[in-house]
Amino acid sequence: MGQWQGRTLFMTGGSRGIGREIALRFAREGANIVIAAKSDQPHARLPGTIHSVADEVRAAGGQALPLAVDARDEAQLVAAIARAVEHFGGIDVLVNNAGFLGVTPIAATSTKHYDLMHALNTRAPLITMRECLPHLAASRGQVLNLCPPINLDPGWLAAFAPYTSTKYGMTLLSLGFAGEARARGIGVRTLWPATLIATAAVGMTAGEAGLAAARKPEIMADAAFALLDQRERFGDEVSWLDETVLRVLGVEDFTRYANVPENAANIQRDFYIGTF
Amino acid sequence: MTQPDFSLAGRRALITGASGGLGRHFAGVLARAGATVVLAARRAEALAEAVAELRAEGLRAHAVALDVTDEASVAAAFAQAETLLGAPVDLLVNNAGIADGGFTHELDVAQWDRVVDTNLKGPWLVSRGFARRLIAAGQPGVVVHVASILGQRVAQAVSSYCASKAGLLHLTQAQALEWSRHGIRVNALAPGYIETDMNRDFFAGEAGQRLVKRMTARRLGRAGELDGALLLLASEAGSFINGTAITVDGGHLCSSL
Repeated sequence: MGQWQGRTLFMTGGSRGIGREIALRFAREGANIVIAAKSDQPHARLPGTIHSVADEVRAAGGQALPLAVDARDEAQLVAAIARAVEHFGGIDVLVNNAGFLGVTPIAATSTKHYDLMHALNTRAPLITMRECLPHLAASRGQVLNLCPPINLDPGWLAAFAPYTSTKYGMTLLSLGFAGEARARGIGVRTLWPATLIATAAVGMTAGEAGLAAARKPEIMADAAFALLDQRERFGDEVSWLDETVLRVLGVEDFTRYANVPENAANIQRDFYIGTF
Repeated sequence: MTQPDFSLAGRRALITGASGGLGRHFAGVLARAGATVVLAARRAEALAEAVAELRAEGLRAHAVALDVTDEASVAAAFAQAETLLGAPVDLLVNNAGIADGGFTHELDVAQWDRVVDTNLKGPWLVSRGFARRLIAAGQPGVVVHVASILGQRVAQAVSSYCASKAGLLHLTQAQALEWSRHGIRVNALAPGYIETDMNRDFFAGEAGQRLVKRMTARRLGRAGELDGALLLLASEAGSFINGTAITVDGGHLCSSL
């Protein structure tokens, strides 16, 4: 393909999980990856740092710029984007991947907890989309936001409303930005897993059982790559599920993505898919 | 001797043009008969209310965006439906259609294109996407093309519509012949004049009332009066019905010369 050689992806988060997998997928195509994440030093319980991922990106064939950024801090986000443009000459894709998962209902959600979720899930994407706009217009680039298709099923809405409101807020901003930025040639997509994905976040909230009922993050990386690499094939529709993207490509068998192969028939649907 | 089986339990249906009118009504009919339904329309957001209403009844419903005139949109819609359902759609109701008015010699070419693209090419594209998937999966299915009595007789100033619906009725037979060997039955529903939100005002007015008085039944049909025929074609009760059209028009086709 070759079209990603020298193209620049600016990603929030990415030290581990789905973000890291997407970064490596594009690294294998020779892209420049900016990893703007918090984990500068190794964490006690969470694997991966911006530096370890940067090393993996370079080993995979890409260029890497690790930047220690707390996505709650607007000045740090703005500075990181400026730094990325200075270093790589522009931005072709913005990936809003950093997020905070919190499955508590309103009654059990402290304001501090809500502020954290809102800052990472809704506010940071607003800031990065706004700041990257001129660069994406110059490159006729794309935005990929990892947030769900809006599902107003009352069961899902009631389950953990604070988190849901911040993720749906991210989707609403994405849908709005799609219209706002279309005239400047910028494409906007949201991508969400159809199933649980085996990440540290899922391991911590759903334990071994969750990981056994999950797919590997590779499926999100494959879907993200297809969506961004074959833009025309996916039309104007903004919200996508990973499985749907791959079905459009003709994939019918997803068993190779099962985190535990023996459990391929018992993969669990992710949040916000269908009814609660 | 067992009763005919009108149940749709376990079936997975996709209904095009489901944001209002007959499409939305059909989705409810199929869901209440046991099917999981995927409502499709150009804007998925327009389906939110319809989906919420069905779910509030405890029925299983999803929404997908679908532009029936766009091949890529058709592929994406079936991909999304299959992701949501966990298996291929096995019951397709091609309901999306648009009306148009005007004498042929006064119309723009674009007006012809719009009507034929939505009413004839649309059902062709969507049923093609449906059949491809089922044939690849080796599973049987059912197509119901929603045509019209205006595909069987004509009226003034609706030539594009008449031609598109007549074409759809003939396509029904051609597809039935092709897909029978794959276990896919293809039939058409040909409604007469059915009262909907869109035409209620017209039929209440003077011109509408003149039209109604010329109908054999001297009244419009209600959407619910199409349900029986739809369920017959969709379910196992119609297992030996293929390549035909059921006209539901209160006898309008039989109106006096």
